[in-house]
Amino acid sequence: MTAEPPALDGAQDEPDAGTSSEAANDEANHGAAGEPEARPALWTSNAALDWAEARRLSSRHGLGVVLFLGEVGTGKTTLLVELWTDLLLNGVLGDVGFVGSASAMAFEERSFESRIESDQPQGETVRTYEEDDGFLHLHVQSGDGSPRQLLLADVTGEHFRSVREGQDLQDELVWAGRVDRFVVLVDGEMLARAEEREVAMTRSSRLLFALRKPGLVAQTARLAVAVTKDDTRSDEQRADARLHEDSLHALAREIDPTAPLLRIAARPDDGRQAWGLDSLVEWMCWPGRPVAQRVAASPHRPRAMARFRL
Amino acid sequence: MTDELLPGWLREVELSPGSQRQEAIAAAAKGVASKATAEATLDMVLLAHGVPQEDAFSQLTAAISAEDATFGGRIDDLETMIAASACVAEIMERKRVEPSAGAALAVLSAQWIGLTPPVADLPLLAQETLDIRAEAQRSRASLAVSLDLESARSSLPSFEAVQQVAPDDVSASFTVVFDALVEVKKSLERLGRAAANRVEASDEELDILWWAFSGHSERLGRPWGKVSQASAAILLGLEFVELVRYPVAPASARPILARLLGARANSDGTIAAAVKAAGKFVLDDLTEHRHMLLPVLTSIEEYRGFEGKESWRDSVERWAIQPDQTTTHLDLAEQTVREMLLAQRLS
Repeated sequence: MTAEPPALDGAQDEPDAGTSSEAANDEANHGAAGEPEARPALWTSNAALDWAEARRLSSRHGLGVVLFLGEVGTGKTTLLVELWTDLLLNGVLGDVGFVGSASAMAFEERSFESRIESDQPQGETVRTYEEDDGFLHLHVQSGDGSPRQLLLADVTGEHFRSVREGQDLQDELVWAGRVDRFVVLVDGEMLARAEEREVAMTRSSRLLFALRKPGLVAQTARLAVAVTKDDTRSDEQRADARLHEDSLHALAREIDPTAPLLRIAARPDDGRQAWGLDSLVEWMCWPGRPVAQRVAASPHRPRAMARFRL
Repeated sequence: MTDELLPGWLREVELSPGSQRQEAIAAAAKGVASKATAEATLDMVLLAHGVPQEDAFSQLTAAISAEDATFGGRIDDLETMIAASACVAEIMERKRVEPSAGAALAVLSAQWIGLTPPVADLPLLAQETLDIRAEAQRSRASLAVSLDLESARSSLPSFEAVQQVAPDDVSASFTVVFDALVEVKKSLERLGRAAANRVEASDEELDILWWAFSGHSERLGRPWGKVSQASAAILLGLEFVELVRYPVAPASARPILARLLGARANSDGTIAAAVKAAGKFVLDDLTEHRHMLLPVLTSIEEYRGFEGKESWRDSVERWAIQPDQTTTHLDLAEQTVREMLLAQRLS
């Protein structure tokens, strides 16, 4: 049986003191010492995978399906974009190594407005509309050296607004029962503001309640709660929100006792280095939750010889 | 059992649980199992363990495509291995002992040589199959005869009324009597088979127990304690299997072999060392078959064929057999028994 990975209880690396966005951009282009740095080549030029293409990939290697749950603006696509960018530029994120992607162009399309070539240095991620729903593929190598094929669902937050309003998640996303990693996003910026805190809490807790439907979260699937836009919060605001975060965390642990609470700043506004993405991708590569092993059924043995043991 | 487990097995490759593909694989597995031969089963077991087998793959592909035309898997796809595992599991569930026992023996043989199937349940299912079969074949079935002749007797005319019976009715009466005699015959035949099986199982039990109790090798004519460590495991396995009268060894095979091996049971050795030590005591052909799942027998036969020259080691590599594979002596003895029973299925 695989040993349980170390718990992620929300403890985060302290964010950097901060560098200017211009300096950060310069570093991304030229490396720390200002020397020109070769960018890794893109692997393929395919767009987002449709269902049939995803199925073909899963037949080959098996796939772990990852779903970020959160309404519009919580940062789903930004997370996907920044995960991609970090893996592509650095080759490694945390202890997870980047191997390739069958949907590199789709990642690039979603992130092009956040590139340094954009007129907006902080970058914006294009909002996802339902017609753009698709899967993005990542082939990574986890810390123990084992390859992992991940299918990251990039779907519009409108689905989750419907769920909040009472729609069944499996009616919105028919493949939801197949998800291996559920990540419920909590808008950290809303959580920081007293007047919007309850809205953020209600939205996230309704999603967690929706996941409690029997049979939806498979025995081997994992769940995490991720507070996004952590860079928009001061230490005091984080402390104020702690009790609320803990209650969401407790709710998640009723579904998955191993569920971690992550705090993520995927694209800090002030140009600081992102944090939390390494914990997220490492968690995505954890093995599935162990299930009780079947014990061999032993037939009735009336003959003494059949019962003979040393 | 396979129907219940299949959705879990397919989870990693199936994005739509309960889809047409899953149903197609389930149906294909049943179809393949219904026509399984001993040789084809070995190939399907290897395919389930990720060892490409063209014939098994073709059979599998055809069976699945007949149910789902969109299936276009490759021979080394994870989905292919899982589908092959479903076929093997279905074969093990068949009522007839022949393909079922062979499949289970092959799965455990694959495990012994170090192959790991993506369907982790497969070795467990194999062991369950053999345990159940071992007991079922040797069960002490009741020898009571249950025969109802009352309805036949009551349809016959009484002695006093015989002379008034019309000729057609006499013929009908003879038919009733004849049918009753046929039922008696069938009952006696069933009784005879049950009794014969009880005696067969008892004879096997006595033979094995006396052989084990004696602590002597009949082949070498000396106590097992005086047989070299290197050769004891294989020779024990060969002598034990000669006493087995059913397609599946008794459930207590392993502890009996362990008792005879004594302290040597858990010590390690290699196939090569064991073959070289035991090979010279093997005077008859053990099997004509050479196969990756028969590493011990294949090695012995190649060793004998090359008259003990080291070339046999290169020869067995044709079947991807590793002569330097390390194993405990108890595992080697058990594997020898397993391979002999498997080879008998092939013959």
